[in-house]
Amino acid sequence: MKSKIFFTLIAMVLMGVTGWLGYLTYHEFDDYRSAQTSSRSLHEMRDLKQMSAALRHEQTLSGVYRGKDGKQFAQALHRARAESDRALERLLSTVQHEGTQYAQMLAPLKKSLTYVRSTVDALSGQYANTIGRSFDGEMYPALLAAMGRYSRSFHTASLRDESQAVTSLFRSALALNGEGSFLGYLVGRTHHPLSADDVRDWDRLMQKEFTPDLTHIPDLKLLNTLKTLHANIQKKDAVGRIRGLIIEHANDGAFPIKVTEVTKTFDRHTGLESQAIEMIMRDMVSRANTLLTSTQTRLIQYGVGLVMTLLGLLLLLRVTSTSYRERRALEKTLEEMVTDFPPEQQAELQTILKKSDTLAIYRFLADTTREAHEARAQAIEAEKAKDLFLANMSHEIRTPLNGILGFTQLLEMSDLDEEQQSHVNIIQSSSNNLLTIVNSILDLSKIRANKVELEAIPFNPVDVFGDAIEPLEVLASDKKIRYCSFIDPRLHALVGDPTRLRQVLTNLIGNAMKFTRSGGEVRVVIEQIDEKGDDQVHVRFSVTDTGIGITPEQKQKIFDAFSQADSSTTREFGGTGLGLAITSDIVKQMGGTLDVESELDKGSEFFFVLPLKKVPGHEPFTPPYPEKKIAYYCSKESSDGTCGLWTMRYLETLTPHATQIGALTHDVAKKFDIIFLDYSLAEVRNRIQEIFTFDTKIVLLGYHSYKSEIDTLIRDNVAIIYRPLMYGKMLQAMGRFYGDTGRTEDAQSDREENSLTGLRILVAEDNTINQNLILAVLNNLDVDVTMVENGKRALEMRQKEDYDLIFMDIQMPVMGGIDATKAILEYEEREGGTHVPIIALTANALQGDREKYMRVGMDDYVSKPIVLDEIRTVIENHCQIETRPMGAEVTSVPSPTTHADTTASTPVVADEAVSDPAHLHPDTPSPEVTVVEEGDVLLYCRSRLIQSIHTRALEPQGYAVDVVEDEGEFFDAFESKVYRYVLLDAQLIPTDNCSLTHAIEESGAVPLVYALAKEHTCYGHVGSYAKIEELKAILTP
Amino acid sequence: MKRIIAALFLTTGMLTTVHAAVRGDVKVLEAAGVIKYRINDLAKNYLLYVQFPYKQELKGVLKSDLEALNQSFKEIALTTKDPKTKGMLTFFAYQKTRIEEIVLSHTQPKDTQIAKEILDISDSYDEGADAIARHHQYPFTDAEKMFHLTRTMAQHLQIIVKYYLAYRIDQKDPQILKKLHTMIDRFTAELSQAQAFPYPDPDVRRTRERLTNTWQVLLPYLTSARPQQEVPMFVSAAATHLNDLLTDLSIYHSKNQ
Repeated sequence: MKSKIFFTLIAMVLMGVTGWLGYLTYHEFDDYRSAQTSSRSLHEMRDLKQMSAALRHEQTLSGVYRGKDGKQFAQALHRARAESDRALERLLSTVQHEGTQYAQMLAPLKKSLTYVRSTVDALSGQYANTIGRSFDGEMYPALLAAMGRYSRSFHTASLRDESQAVTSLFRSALALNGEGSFLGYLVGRTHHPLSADDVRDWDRLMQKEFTPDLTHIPDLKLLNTLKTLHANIQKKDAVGRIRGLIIEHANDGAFPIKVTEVTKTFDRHTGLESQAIEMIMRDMVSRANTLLTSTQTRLIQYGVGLVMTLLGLLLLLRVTSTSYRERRALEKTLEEMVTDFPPEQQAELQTILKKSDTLAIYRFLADTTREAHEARAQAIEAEKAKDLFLANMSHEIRTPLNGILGFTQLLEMSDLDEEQQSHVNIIQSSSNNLLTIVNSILDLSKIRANKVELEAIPFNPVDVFGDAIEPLEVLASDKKIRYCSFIDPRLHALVGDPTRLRQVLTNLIGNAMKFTRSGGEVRVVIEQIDEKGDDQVHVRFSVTDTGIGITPEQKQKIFDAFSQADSSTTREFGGTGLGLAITSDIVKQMGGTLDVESELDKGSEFFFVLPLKKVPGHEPFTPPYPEKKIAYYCSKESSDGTCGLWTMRYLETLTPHATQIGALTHDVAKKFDIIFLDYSLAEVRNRIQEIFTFDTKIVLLGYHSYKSEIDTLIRDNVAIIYRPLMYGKMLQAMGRFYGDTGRTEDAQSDREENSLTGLRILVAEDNTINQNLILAVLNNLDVDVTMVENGKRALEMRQKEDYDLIFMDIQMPVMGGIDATKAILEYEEREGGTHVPIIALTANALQGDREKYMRVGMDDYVSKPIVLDEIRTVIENHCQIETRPMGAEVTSVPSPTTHADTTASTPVVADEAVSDPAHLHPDTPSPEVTVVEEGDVLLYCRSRLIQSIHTRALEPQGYAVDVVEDEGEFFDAFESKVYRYVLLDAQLIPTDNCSLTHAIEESGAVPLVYALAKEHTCYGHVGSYAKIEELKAILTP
Repeated sequence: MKRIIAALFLTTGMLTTVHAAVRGDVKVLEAAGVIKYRINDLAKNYLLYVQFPYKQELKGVLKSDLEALNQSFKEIALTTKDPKTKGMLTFFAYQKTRIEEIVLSHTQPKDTQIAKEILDISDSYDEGADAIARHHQYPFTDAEKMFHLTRTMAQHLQIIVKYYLAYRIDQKDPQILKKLHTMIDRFTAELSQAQAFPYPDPDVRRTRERLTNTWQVLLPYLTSARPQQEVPMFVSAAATHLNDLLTDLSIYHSKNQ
């Protein structure tokens, strides 16, 4: 309020000052314009003066010329007329700028001049009617009127007074000149007495005469200067003498004076008046110029002042307006927000708003913001604490669970009786369930906290989805539920998160199984519904069951965490209620929305559509057996339910000639190349032997519950597929009859067993249970294990011994896994030794953990609880080992790996004479090599640092690097494998002998020399490099 | 200028010709003559000013006339012992206040009433001056008489112009015309006297001749009854010229007494 009053006062003051300055500026502008007008008027008055002088002269000469009857003064008159014309032209052009009024006033001049000249030239008319009338009656009044107007145009009193004096002098001079001209005329008329009219005319002229009053001139200095002149103007003795002489001889005309004497006497007097006019006008000009300058200066000053105050006022108004607007906006916003505050703050805020106290408002906001900030900080801390709790919980729970599960696995592998096996199964099942629950809780937390990052990796959808669908057949079989699936064979490799997709499917199918009673049906359909361009497809996932169904009200709740349809569901079917919440969140993150359509007691369909990118470079799907005729027998009493429909869908993907038949006879069977039968149909079971006699091939579809029966039915013309039906299984069955023509990647490839015997593995783990577990697992793999209890010991052991692999737990006392890893890497770099892969072994499963471990230099990651297969895979991926596929007679060398790399090693059959190093090393007997392994890069270099640099640079590129440090090792390695590249340290090979590089080339490898300077004579045909980047560029295809 | 010189000359000239015993009478006579001249000159100028108020120079002349009157009053007052003369001076003093009031006022002078008042005052001043002269009779010589004649003619000339101008303003008053004619006759008679005087100097005779010529030029305009023939400035200029010629004669007579 106070500020408002203050601003108002300031504004009023500024407005007052602005108004006052505006008034002054206006008046000063007015004065300036007047000063300009005055200057202009003075300039024009000069022209008037000159005109007047010219006219006076012409009048005088006209009079004497006329008096002399044109016999004298003609030339002088002519000159005088020319002067008058020039003066008139100048005057008229000047006054034209002033507008019409002056032009109108002076218009008679030209006309009068023309008239009087004509009469004078004609020597006609009386003086009074011609010269007298024209000059004294017309032209002089016009000049005087214009002069009077100019005089009145001056706004300052001093200029007005002076101009009046000038006008007075003008009038006096003109009057005197009029008498002089007349007397000149009279005297010029030699011996011509004055008539009564002459005397009368003369009297009128004398009446006009007067002595101007100059006492009103304000300038005393000028007045003093004019006094003498004025006194002389007043003294008209000479004029009086002329008059006396003319009066004296008025009756006889014998005037004793000459015309020139008359004109000179009068000219002398009018000259005095002209002098006075000039002096006064000069003073006026000076005064006008001073006034002009001063008014101009003041105008500028007032103008600037006005502008400044206006700007100040505008600024003040703007500031005030902005301030007011902002304050109002602030108040309005707070009024709207009042209800958002707690009751005690609402009352406080309302009070403040009523007072319109801006300071109090800001104080309130500051306090509120600080409280909000503190609350936020607390929330963040709480969130961190929760995350930490989750991480710790995850670690604390998973660690013992890891032990339970691991040893349960080991126990399972031992000889157990039935009862013991049953107990172990229960323990395993319970532990798995507990682990699932822990993972679900952790997952949900991670998802809700947006801490789960989905992978975007290529995957085979048929495999991945099949992996999720297949295992649950056991559940279906146990509960006698019909279980079928359809995975669209058109789905080629896609980009997505296969792990999460498997999780989603497993959850939905598991739920379907759980809530479907015996005799019901669970169907999984995954199909491509459309393609978007060349790189994206929309895939619809649907899991349908004939279970208990869900009401619309229950539908609202089921996607909420820990919520099931109702409590009875939990009692009857168990479960935590986390699965659907997690599934829904994952689907949402993938770009879809999990929805359900359901009818109570009839069943439910859970479905969602995902946009998935296609992996480019695949051919469009075509049926692999386009000429084969395939039938599916489905009788009228088929108990296959809707599963039959999807079976037909699958068959249609094999061939366009797939048909469903309702009757199966010999004749019917003959028409088809293959007939698919469902063994669950009773009719089929009863007629199976008969069916086997038909002249066709049979594929039996059966559930695992019929496995014991089905296994006895294997024939040459019979293939068996256990449900759920999969495209791969169908291909396999077809391949049994017609060979492998389709997509071989769908075939189940036999796993190659790699021997890990002899590998030296260092394990750093502080927990005894985990130690024992890992030890047991690794012993099973027949590797040499060194166990230490902390990172420091791990470092010490690494420094002492060479290992093939290190498993490093993260959370350990004394020195943790991350610190130990860093220390080991520093050691290896310092010493230039071979890098030993370090694998993180941890229960931490939070987002970012894996990336964190990789960043510090770990090579891979295994999460607890430890899975045997995963351990094996990791070891195989990171260690140089031999592989021995079952039934194969070739050796293979696995390519360099990253985590979860499942690329199969490529068997190579080598020529016998692929390498003959005898000429390279004569002392070395040529080994008999019948099988040559393949290698990527052989590095011959003594410097550990250079070895380390090359290894670190090339292995991530996918190159396996074999390092040798001396000649013997070099030749041994060179002879044992066929390398693609052989890298040679230039310092180790002769500079003038290219035989080594030639031999390398002949072996099929590319020699590359590492040299800082090109000194080797073999350069020219051998590639070289000085920096690792150059080498990468050479190796990059 | 000539008038000033003439006035001065008159003042001093007369004094030099007076006998020691009646020097005072002469002084008074002279002063009375000045009074008469000045009052009529003042009246004439005022009447001109009334008709031509823009001729502001007349105001200056009026002031100088007033000053001269004052001076004359002082002269008489200092010289005369005649109580009647003193009484006359008192009357003059009383009238002078009014004259000063009229002359020095800033009001618009175009007032015929005031003009008439000035005329009356000037007439009374004439009578008064004559009375003073009568009370200070002096037996002039012939030469002195001629000098006195020229002075009287100058005075009468002023009166003539005065009445001429007054009649222009107030043509309803026949007395003015009568007085004008009386004065014209008197001047004519006086001119005759001057014409009869045997001036030995040809220049003086020339001057007299010029005087006569000028008067003959002027006379018809003075007696013309036609308003369109009224030529006040011409009359004034002519009277001024006549006055100059009379001054020349006076100078001659003052030198040749």
